[in-house]
Parts: sequence; structure tokens; C-alpha cells
Amino acid sequence: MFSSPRELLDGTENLSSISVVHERLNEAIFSQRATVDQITSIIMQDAGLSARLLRIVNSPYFGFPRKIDTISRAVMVVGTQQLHDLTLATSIVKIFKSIPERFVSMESFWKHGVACGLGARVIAGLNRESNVERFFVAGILHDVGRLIMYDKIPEMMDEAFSHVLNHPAPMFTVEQQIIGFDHAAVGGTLIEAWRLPGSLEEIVRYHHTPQNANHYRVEASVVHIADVIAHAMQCGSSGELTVPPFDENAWNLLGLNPGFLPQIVDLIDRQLEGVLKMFHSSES
Amino acid sequence: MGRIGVDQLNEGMIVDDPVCDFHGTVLMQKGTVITPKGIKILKMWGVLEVSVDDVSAVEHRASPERLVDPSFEEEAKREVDSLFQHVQHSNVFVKELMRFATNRIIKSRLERG
Repeated sequence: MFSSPRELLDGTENLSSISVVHERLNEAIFSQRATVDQITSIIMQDAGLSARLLRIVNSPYFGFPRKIDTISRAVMVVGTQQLHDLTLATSIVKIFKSIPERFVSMESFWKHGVACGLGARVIAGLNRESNVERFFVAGILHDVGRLIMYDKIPEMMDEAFSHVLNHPAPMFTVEQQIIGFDHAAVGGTLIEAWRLPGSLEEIVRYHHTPQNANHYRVEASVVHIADVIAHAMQCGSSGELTVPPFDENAWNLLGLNPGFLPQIVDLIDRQLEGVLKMFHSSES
Repeated sequence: MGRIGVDQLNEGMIVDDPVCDFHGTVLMQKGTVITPKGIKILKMWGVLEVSVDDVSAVEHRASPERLVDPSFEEEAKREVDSLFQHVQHSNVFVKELMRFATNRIIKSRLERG
């Protein structure tokens, strides 16, 4: 029995898996002094990261008309912050190789995350938010806490699944009842332990309860709505069997027009498969 | 003039306001004539809406639920009701999402035969 998400995460190998290259990249970007050449040089120290980056910039996510074949050009075209966010997402997906298939397949898990990320990116764009790529990353990672829970406390997650089947309820509320905390709390704590941006931590921690976010309520609301859409469209699953409760305050905060829904879904449909390939093809 | 979804654009319509992508880069200037290639580019860049000169030229497409057996539609609605069992249905967005999810299930089953 674990008394807190922090205790659950103690000793988890994945905690140390965000590479040194990523930390240096992060420092370089936040220092605001790094040149394109310096950023390029940091990325090129990691062959896997370089390959993933080139797959990202040449994927349907960007849809550039000409192939981009060098890291320096990718950095110039995409921008350092966006590039950092996107490479971070692909690196984290790579960390989690497998989970017991009885819960959910990895393919279905990331399909749900990517669908949520694509939806969040569109909604953020409609809401005129800056740097929409961070919403894509937050969407991809919003359920990452569940991967830790499937890995560390599979028996308790079995119990949670049985409970939901016999007494229908949103999975995250059953996690709170049986384990004492839910996947959102675990995910938020993991992001914090990785020393990733505070906005990402709050979005992940409060994606089911955006009204509880202190500093990034709008951001958490965007991902909350994108999560609801991805569930409604049945685009993959991280283990939730039904559409999670919808927070009307999140909707009111963004003031979106429901008329945008067909276009949001259409964009998810058109980009989903291509973007999933960018995560899974020729892993290095 | 008026704003319409990219899916409702027809060849020959004229762009009435510059069209930008998420980053603010102008993809089409005011006065551009819409072509099939132009529509493809807008979709590729994730543009959702465009302001055009003649909204009356928009074709209204039949929604799938009008084309199928009512019992088939009922089955899809039951599935969606179950999917949304933990969501309050009163919000306008939720209603639209449920309608959309129902149509999606119907469309998917029609495609599968």
C-alpha cells in the first residue's frame, strides 16, 4: 500500500530516464542565449533523438512541402521551444516499452494520448493560445500516471477494473477509492520529478478537475475538453471505459463554439495515424 | 461574406480575409480564389474556418442518420448513452458531441457493411 503518489514513484527506474541531452537542451533553451548551432550540436549528440526529430518535422503533423534533412534546418523551421516540446514527448513515449496487455495495449494507450494531443492543439489554436505544441505534448502525456500504476500496482488496478465493471463509475474516481489517489496525481508528480515545466505538471494533474488548477486553468481546461472528445470518438484508451465527467466551467472558461467540433474531429482523424507512425517507426 | 468550415469550401469561392495558420503565418491573401489544391493546403495546416465572399454557395450535405434504418440509429444512440453515462447531457457541447459520436458509429458500421 502506498500513501502518496511520491511514495509510489520512489525507486521507479523510469524516473531517471529523461536523458542528459534533454536536460542540456532544456537549459540551453531557457537560457535564451543559445544559438541555432549550439542547439543543433546538443541534439546531434543523441543519434536517436536526431532521428526522431527528423521524423517529427517530416510527418503529417507539420506537413512541410519539402523534406527537411538536417537538424539545423529543423531547428530553424520549427523553432527551439516547439522542437524541445515535441522531442520530449517522443522520448517519454519511448521510455515506456510495455504494460500488461490485460489492461490496455500500448498502441491503444498512445492512440488515445495522441488523439487528445491533436485535439488540444486545435482547441488551443482556436483559443489563440501561444505555443500550441505544448498542448500537444500535454495531451499525449495526460494519462502517463496510469502507465506507472499498471507497472507498479497491477493487482490494485485489477481491483479497480473489476470494481468499475460491477459498479459503473469513472475509473479515476475508483482509483481514488481503492488506491487513495488517481492517475492524474501520479502523472503530475512524475512530471514534477522530471523537473519539466510547471504548466505541464498542472495540466496533467488537473486534466479531470481543471477548476482546481492554480496557475494554468485555461491550459488544463483545453486538455480536459480534448480528453472528453478523444473518449467520445473512441480513439484508443488508457483504461477509462466511458467518457469521463465533463466540467462545464472548463467549457465556459474557453467560450468555444460547438460548431467547431466537426473540424476538430476531422483534423484528429486525418493526422492521427501519421503522427502515431512518427512515434513508433524505426525506434532508435 | 461570412465564415465557413474548410469542409464547406467550394472551388471558385473568394477568400475575404487573410487565412493564417496557428502560428500566424499567412497561407492565403484576401482575394485568393479557392481551388482543390488550396483546400488541401488549408486542411494540411489545420485551418478550420475561412471567411469567403459568398456563403450562400455552401452545399448542405445530408447527415448520415437520415440515410439509415431507424433501429440501427437507436442502437448507436444506446451505445453513445452508455459511453456518456457519467456525463451530464444538458450542456450544448455535450449534446453536439453525442450527436457526432452517434453519427460516427453509424458511419463506421455502414462502411464495414
